[in-house]
Amino acid sequence: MLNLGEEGDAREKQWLSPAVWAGPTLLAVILFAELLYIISSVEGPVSTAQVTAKQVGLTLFGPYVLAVEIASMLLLAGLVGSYHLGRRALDRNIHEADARALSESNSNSTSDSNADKGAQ
Amino acid sequence: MDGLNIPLSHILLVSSLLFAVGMLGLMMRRNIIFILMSLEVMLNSTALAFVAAGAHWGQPDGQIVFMLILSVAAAEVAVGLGLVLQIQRRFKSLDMDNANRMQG
Repeated sequence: MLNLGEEGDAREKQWLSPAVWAGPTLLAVILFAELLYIISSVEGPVSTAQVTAKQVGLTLFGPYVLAVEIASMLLLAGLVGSYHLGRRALDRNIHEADARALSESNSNSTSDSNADKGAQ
Repeated sequence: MDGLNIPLSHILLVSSLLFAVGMLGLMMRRNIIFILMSLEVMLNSTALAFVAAGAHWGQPDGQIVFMLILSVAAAEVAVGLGLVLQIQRRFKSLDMDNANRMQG
């Protein structure tokens, strides 16, 4: 699954010399130890009182209303962006299908191009 | 009974484990679909940590941040899947190593 053949192996050997990964690995181990220390120092149950839906709604449309507006703008931008990215691919599919249908109907009308299609 | 009696550290442990799984997938995988799925796993692990912390202090802020993270993830995946369409059409493959050159 992860092998890309000889070329990929050679390239990965070039990337993964010990001088390259030793420093980052040390830093990652230090960060992991810090994470374990901090998580083990946390105490107490997850919650003692339930957070009700009413509280969530009041806070969402109270102090956080600006964040809700920004999220709505972000979703709109995502919608427009994905439509723009996907539309051209879909349009091209439709155009190709149209062109194919057109050439097929032309080839049906004339026997010469029909023979060409058959040869291809 | 109100609330949960699981220790908070367990949930933080699960959250960091999920984050590690997502990051490993992000670095190991070459298929862009699986890269996007790993990104989703990472976002959801941070959201789990936010919800657990919000519940720990009895504040609704954690769940609100969870909703904001969900909307960010939705927008990201929408644009990402549009890019997947374009990459599939242009390179005829979903392998990200084929798409490492920018043209123009």
